[in-house]
Amino acid sequence: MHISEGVLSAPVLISTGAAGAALTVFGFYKMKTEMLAKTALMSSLFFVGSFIHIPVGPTSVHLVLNGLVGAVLGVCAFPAIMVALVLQALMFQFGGFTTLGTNILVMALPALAGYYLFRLGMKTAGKKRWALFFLTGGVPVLLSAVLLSAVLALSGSRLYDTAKAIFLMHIPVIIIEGIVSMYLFNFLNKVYPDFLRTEYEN
Amino acid sequence: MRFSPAACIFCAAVYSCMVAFRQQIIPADAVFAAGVMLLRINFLPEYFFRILKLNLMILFICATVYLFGDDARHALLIFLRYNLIVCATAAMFCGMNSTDFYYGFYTLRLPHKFTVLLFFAVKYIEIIGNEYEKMRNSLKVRNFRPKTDAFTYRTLAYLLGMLLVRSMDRAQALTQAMKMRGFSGRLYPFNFRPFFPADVVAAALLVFQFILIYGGLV
Repeated sequence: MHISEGVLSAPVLISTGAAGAALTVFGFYKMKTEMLAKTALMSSLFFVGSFIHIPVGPTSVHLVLNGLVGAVLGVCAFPAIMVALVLQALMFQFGGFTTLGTNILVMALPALAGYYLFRLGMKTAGKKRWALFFLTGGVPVLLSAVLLSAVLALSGSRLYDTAKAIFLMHIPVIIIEGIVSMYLFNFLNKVYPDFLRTEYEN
Repeated sequence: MRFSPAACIFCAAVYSCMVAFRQQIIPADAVFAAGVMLLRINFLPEYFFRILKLNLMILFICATVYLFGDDARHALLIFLRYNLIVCATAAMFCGMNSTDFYYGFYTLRLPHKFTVLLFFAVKYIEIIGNEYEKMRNSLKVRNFRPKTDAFTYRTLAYLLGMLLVRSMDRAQALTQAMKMRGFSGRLYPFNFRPFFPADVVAAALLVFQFILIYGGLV
């Protein structure tokens, strides 16, 4: 899901970088001191999530978990995802300095969709709730894949087919993430409902 | 040679910006990356294999640009830009751990909210990593074999859920312990990572690279 260094054009890098930076600053501004532990925990879970491989046929995919981060943190997902991306860039060279803002935008902006879908899910019951929990995990990954493909396509017509291929590669991840999130939110709701409370903004 | 984390972060960020916006790569662009790789030659096996692995994804992107976008020049430009940045950063950062990066950002005087969040995230990655390892092992001893079925996805979702519950308990205990010691959203580390003589060499290389690119020498 990370955009590598050197792929995007300068105008796309600058505009998405500025948007990602502005949203992260807003996220930090909204983050209370009491919310620090939870934000850091979700940040580290987002980091560790990239090591959790889930089998899909003969191959495997790793979880993105931006829906989960968004559902738990809301707008604080921006700083949480930013810190995880910084660590991934420094420790494993996934992403990088010039694409940091773009990667934040691609992964953290759709996390907000997870937040609203999750709130909606908590207000319902039965099969509708299961479906909304599925969407809480799946829709942010779908939106991230769309944004990722869009920034690639905006970087030049030569990257159109790359954008299409990358979008298609993410379809299994969207489904798996949705299924895992469906079970996960149901589990958390039963075992640790306090964890899903959202009294965090200033 | 050993660099300080702060110098590495600063140099890598500046060099990445210098290379990522280039529309044409010339041999002079590789001076900093080659210099850093030479200075860190004792870590060569470590960063060499990492660079090889990282190239798999960029080769896929370059191949699609070459085959479907029909632009060999642009595919080569992406490949070279990526590799120059990755060679420099992989060589500089290999052998460092996440705590070093916290000290690096702290030394660079980044906002406290960011450095404190980074510090906690680094601590929790260790906690979550250990908990995850324990749970995976307990699944293994129960002969759990991941497959493409609902049982596997449910089990892994519950594993993730338990990981969150247990880590949150540990995280809250850590936060309470820090609050008891007067934590109010700011950390005052006393164990800095000092600057090393090699940092001067890295800075000189970076300045030389800057002059080469923007000074019109080549």
